[in-house]
Amino acid sequence: MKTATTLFEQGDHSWKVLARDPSKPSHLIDTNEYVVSAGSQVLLTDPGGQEIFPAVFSALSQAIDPNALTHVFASHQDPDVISSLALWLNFKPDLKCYASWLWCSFIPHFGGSAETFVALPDEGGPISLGSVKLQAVPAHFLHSSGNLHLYDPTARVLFSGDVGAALLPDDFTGLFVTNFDAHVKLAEGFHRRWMGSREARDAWCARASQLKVDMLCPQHGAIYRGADVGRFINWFSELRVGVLRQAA
Amino acid sequence: MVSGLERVVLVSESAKQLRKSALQVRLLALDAIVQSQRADDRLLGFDEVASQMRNWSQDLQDALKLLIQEIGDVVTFSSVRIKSARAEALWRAASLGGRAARAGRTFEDLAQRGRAEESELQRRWRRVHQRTQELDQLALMAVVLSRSSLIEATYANPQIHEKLEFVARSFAANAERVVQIIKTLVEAAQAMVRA
Repeated sequence: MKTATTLFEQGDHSWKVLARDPSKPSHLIDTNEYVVSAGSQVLLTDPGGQEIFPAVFSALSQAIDPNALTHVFASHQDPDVISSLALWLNFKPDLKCYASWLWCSFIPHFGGSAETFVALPDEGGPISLGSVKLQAVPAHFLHSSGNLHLYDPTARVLFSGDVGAALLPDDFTGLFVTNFDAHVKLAEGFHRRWMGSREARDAWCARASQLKVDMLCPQHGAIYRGADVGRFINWFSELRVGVLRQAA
Repeated sequence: MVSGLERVVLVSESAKQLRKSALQVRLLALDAIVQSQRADDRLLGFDEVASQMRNWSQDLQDALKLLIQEIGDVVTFSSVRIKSARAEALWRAASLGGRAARAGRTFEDLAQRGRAEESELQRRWRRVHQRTQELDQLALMAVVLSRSSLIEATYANPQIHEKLEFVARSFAANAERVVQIIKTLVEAAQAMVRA
């Protein structure tokens, strides 16, 4: 089962991460799910693929009362992000799913009705959760053509989807980046191949540097915190992206 | 409802409350052991009851650990069942009208597999039910121990009587809560076994 860890807590506002399932089959990419609670509402980011639903559901049940779950946020349309939607809706039929407008007629192939989806515009925008105002932040073409991240200005947490992701070895159990230089080696190949647009990368780096971010939380790999957030943005801004492999 | 995930949540939420009670009783028992050991020989009985309370708290935590494992299995099998039920519904729709004989056969195969999955899920729920019945025994033990602690507290000298009576009453309150929660748990598991 995944383990739930609290990243931020202030009154009834919190961020928890569900991560690191030692029993996960190695042919499935590892994922992190973030649970944002504010008052009586709870949002789950990129709830994951259907194969890992039991692990996510069990970890969520340990962290909070799953009956409180009101929203899911899909950064984009990939199966590891949102193919579990039908299972979540089986448990909570009135669950709302935030996603880019671009994917709101594609994701229903995984499940859900017209009432399930809340289409987010290209420019992003505010998302109210209890008394907290979250912000959907554009990250299009990083890697999906309709891609959004989620920023919490109070917690100073940026959920960054595939940006910042790293393919960690199976025996890696840590939650946070502890050695930035070693860690980005695990992120480099992923970013070169998956992130196809330099313009989009530059726009995201410019936008992210304007935000006050204490934790940059990707969907795969370890979480960047403190000075490593700025280090990552600088590293990413200089990385040659959109290439199959680095030229010799 | 195929999945029963809402009952899974009821069980896991109850388990969380029981864990809290178990922890509170453990702290109360430790305090009581220290208090009674400071006192004279007449409190040997209370000392013994407090030790039993501590053991009970540990037994409850161990039983909850096993229950959580079982409920994790239920989540896994429920997920499989939900996915299959969805596939069954889609293949059934594909076979309607009788033009796609292959779809009809696939639907029948899936329906057969679905019945096997359903009985496996039932088996898992029966194991959960069995665990809740073990918890029921612990609830009974809690009631007996809380009564004993109230009786033993009356033998204490006036200086610590109040303190021990407070411990005994707190334990009784926890025991009452535990009994109620376990009753809910047993009923939830029983409903799934019957379903």
